[in-house]
Amino acid sequence: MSPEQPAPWPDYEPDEVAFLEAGGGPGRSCPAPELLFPAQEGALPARLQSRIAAHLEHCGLCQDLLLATTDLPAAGLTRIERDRIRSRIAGSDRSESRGQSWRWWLRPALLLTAAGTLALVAGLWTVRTVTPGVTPAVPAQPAIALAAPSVPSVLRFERAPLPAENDALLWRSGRVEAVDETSRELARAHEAYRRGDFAAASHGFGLVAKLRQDDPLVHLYLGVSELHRHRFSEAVLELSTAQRLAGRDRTISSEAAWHLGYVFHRNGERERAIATFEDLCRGTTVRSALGCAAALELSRGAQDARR
Amino acid sequence: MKDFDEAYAKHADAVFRYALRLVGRRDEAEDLTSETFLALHRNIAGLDLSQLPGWLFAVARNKAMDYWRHSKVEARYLDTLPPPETTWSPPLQMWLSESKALKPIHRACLILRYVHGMTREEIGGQLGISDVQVKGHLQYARALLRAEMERKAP
Repeated sequence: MSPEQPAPWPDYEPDEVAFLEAGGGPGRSCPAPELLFPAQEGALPARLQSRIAAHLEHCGLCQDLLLATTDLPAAGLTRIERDRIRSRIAGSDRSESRGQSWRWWLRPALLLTAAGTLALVAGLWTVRTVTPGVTPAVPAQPAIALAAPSVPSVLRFERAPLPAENDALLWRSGRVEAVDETSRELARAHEAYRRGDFAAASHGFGLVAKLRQDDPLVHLYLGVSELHRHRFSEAVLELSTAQRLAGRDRTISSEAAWHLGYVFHRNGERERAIATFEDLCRGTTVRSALGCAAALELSRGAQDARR
Repeated sequence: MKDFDEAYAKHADAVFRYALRLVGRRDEAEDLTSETFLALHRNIAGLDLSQLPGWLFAVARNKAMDYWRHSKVEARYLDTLPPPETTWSPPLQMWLSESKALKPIHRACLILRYVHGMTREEIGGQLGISDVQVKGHLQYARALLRAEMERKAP
């Protein structure tokens, strides 16, 4: 029973109602049962701990409940839960090892890009606000248009140098044979992405995505390729998938979120774009600064439009 | 990896049960178990495996403390607590407390249903049994308690 959703009093059956009447009616003077064991283990924060401990001291019923449930052999993991946990750990392991191979240069590069974008946004804002005697013109495009030059510049940056899978890089350099056909396809897709052939890139990443369905990076590149092709609904689907699969890999998930916000903006879905950028803004990655700037500009644009 | 797989196969159930008791929600317990074994996966190279499963329980407990310390969770529960001076108990609670006939499972089902107002599904989730089993335990426990009430009635 979670306190966030107070359960309605259960629909008692006639026999239960008769039992309750004979017993003097139900009572609700005890704290939520899920607090009892953590209180016994000393795992609650101080205020909660002292309140529950004080209650437990004088409430025989809660002591009984604690004893009764301690004696019960609570059910363990179901097969589905067990497999889900195992695959989460495996996924984290993969993304960690993959991340180590390319993030060393991606992070500082993104930091530089973010700083450049912020400087650009700040510069344009300053020009708009401090030019004496000039009434700032209402922009014909949404206000994000001010920041828009930064968005393609980020995408251009990502095309070269392109973070590729280790095996794909080795294959391209001719040092080893690609491990399998999927790796070759991935290398070809990256190559197409690099030269700006987004139709070929999209085709290649799409093939690989079918074989590596749980790989967030493949979905990220597929989504960005679709964005370049102005296929916005496909881009949203792939970028959302990348974001979901990235889980706690904040680098990949924030990349996906940034591009997702940009797709919404390009597709004229201002509110969704603002919401996505605001979510991104709450994070701590280098993309977060860009998210804050974009959300701010879009919100200003919305205010201007209302005026 | 072999060590980790062995540890996971051997201790996952126990860690999950402990986590479930610590946080009271199956979805949160799954997350907590997942984080605990992720910590094992990251640290297994430098870990003396004879420390298992104690090490796992300690990690799970620390993660549960983090969960409870989350300000929103704490605030929600503080808001729902009865006042500290509450000592009132309805007669049914006294019957439940004093009955000698009830087994732990019966007592737990009765308290969760008639004191905390939980549904049979919620009770099943809390105790790790099906709602049909809960219904059976409740029927049997009510009969036991009724018989006791009638015996002791003046």
